[in-house]
Amino acid sequence: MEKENFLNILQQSEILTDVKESVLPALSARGLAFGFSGTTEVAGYEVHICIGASTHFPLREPIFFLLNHKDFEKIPHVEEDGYICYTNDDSLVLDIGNAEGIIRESFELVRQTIIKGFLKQNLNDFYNEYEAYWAKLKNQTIVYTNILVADEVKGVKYTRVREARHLFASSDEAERINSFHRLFNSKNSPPQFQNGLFIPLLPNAKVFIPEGNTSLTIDTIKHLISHHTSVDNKERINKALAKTKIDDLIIFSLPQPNGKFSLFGIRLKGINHRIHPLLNADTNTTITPLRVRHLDPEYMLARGGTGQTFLSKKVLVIGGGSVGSAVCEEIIKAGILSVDIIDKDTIEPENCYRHNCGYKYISLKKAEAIKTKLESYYPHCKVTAFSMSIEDGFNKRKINLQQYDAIIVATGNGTINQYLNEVFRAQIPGIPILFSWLDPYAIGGHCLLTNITDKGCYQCLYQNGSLHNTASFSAPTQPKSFSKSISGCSSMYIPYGSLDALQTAILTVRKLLDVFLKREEQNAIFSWKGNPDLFLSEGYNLSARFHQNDEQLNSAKYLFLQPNCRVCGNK
Amino acid sequence: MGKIVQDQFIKFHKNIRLDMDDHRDVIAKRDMLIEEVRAYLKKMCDEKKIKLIRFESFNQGSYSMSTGIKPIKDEHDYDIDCGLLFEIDKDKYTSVQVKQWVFDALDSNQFRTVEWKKACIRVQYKQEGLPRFHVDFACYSNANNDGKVYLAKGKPKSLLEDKIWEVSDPKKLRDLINNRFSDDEECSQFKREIRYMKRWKDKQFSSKDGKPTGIAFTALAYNGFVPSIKDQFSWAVDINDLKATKDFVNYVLNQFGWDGRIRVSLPVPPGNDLFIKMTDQQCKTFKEKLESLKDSLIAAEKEADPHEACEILRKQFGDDFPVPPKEDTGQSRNRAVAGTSESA
Repeated sequence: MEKENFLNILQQSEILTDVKESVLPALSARGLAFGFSGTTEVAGYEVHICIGASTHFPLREPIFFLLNHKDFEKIPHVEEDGYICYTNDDSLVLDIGNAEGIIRESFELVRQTIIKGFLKQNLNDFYNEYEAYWAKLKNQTIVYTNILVADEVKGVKYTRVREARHLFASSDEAERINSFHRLFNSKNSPPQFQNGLFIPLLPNAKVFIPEGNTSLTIDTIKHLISHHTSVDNKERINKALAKTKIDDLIIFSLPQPNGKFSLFGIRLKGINHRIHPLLNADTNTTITPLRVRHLDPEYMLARGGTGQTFLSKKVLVIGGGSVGSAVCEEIIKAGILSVDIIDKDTIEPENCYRHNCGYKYISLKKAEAIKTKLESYYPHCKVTAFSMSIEDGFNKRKINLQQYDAIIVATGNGTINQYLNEVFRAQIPGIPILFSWLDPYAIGGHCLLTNITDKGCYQCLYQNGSLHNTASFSAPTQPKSFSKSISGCSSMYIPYGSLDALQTAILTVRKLLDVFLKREEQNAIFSWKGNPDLFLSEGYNLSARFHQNDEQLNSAKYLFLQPNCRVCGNK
Repeated sequence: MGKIVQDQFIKFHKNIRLDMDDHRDVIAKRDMLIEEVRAYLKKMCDEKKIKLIRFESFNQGSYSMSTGIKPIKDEHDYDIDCGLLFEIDKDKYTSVQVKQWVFDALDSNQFRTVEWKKACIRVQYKQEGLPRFHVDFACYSNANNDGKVYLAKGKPKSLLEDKIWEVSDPKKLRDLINNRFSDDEECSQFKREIRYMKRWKDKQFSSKDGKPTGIAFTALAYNGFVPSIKDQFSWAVDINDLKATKDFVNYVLNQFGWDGRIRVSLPVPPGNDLFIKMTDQQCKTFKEKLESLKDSLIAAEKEADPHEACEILRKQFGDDFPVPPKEDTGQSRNRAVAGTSESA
């Protein structure tokens, strides 16, 4: 929008008086095309406001500045240049046909932000967004952290990240320290770790709010420690600082009013050999504020869907084909970080377009490929790969079933599945088992949840004497076999797309989570239905079950059990 | 359910069903009796010089509903129910008077005895070369001003209040039962179920006292039988008489009230309670036997071996329930290798 148009609309909106064009430097600094200043009254105070816009207005909301903010006490959401943060960029939708309305209503949000600040109703926002204020300090640099927040002062390990000026700091635990290699993909040259300190500040600590573009001083930090740490922690700090060093790093945690934690840090360089600058004045020491980028699983997973609910769970996936490999990835994304995968096969070229690991992993064992890919994608996960058949896994005592919270069977092999069903019932009754398989030609997929209650098992699906899976959407009798050879008998495959595998994997992982959350508490079978056109055009027959709608399928989910099943029925 | 067990149910049904087409000689006797009544009435009307009393005969009872079963032992006899719809006004004749015509018409032969029953005239045959059987003739008045049909009740020596014309709709019950299920498969299972239960009560109750009637089971099945002809999970065709029977027995058990009595009304007029004659103690016994039947049906359903399952069922239904020999059963019959469409 042109400047003149914007001015007209602004004047029509009557939000400001004495409107004139502004030459505020912050306008261009923030990428705005033009701005106008004016005056209004907010909560009984006269405020001078500048409203700026880009040429894309009204696709982008207008930006407001509080020009006379120095006349008042510092209030949340107003920055050094007067910029008023009245919304998260993506939390508004604008009616682009109503420019005047956008100006008027966004100014109302601005007014509310200022009023809350004047009336001190949003002081907590300072502390909820403390990391953002800390980040505005002069000369700050970045520290990546994998630190578990605790109530006690603790040692941390820190090191430089490659050639960059950035640092990495972790709690002093092997797993978190070793995460450095995964997080920064550094297999070679083990880094030199140095000892730093983690200092938790007290809850409700009214610590100083950093002014933008100001330098941090040692005295500020001394004040922070002396006023906002517990007595016990002060002792621990003094003890730790007494050790001789020339370089130090301290990470502070500040409990936020909203229950989360802000982390921020300092780095000290050029320390006099004998006395730590936080214990005594040392003019040679330089202090650098550190802005924290959280790389701890607690923080990263809290931003995902399921958060930290499943961090302690461990799952075995049997079968690393298109379904199994997708299951592994979705399990990890759901926050289940310990996954064991067993599969004896190798990734072949013809697998690439439906397996979770593509061409990059060709000729690798599927289990190894899954481990390699997922551990590089998800730095906190622990995938153990067993490149063998499950029968060998048992025979060679590689698989200890007792350690798993759930097992997913994605072999797609009805014979092995019957065998596994019996093994699990005998050895680990009560542990959720999810059998997951696909029907041909995109007609659907299934997930049988079993072993959590006594009745209803995989064998029930085959208890019909005809060796046909009763859950299947394909009829027991067919005019021709489903396997079709692409290059001779050695590489038989059953055609289906990656989407079918993915959809079945999603169904399976969803049910896994439902079991963990106790939303499913009874053995049941779940199926999704696809489009039968291709299947039918190939001349195949659908089963009667396919003709159930989703509601009917769902209401019959427990009815698969056979009272006279040779495995779970009465003996 | 296993196909083998279902096959045994079908064989059982074949063993117990009463098919009068196999007894054409009996039917011929019945028709002869009807003609004798007709001849008697003609003669009577001629002598009294009154207008000929006409009537129409029809099948009623289990024979007309295809729910009849063979008697369990040879000394018990077959039973044919025949209705006679007289073209008379109930106000012109007493109920006993009309029954008397039928009695007199038939009580004239050394090979049969004729007997007064409350609701009919019974003709009992004990003739060499014929199965033991009786024909019950129910007599109705069918030319009334109100358009209704009335059944003649009472015996000559009954109390006055028992000698009555009782409102009735004899063909309606037959139609209700025959039209209960429009699907042939469901209808057949419904009829089989009634026969199974009738045989079960014959096997379980030795004396007449406290034995529930066939019509009581028919009415219960009419109200509460749910066919089981497809698998509820897979929707595959699965005619499952074992499950249908189990569900039906459950239904019957649910009909017992808080007082321990079971009640079911005849679904047509006069709508009387078909268990009214049972004492409380007899109701209790009936319920106990049903509980035992239910347990057996559940046990049979859980039994993996069809031989064992059928042994359990035979104890409830009697020796007409076949038990397949051991070697026919078990896993050996099932397929061991088949094509699959599972993948992952």
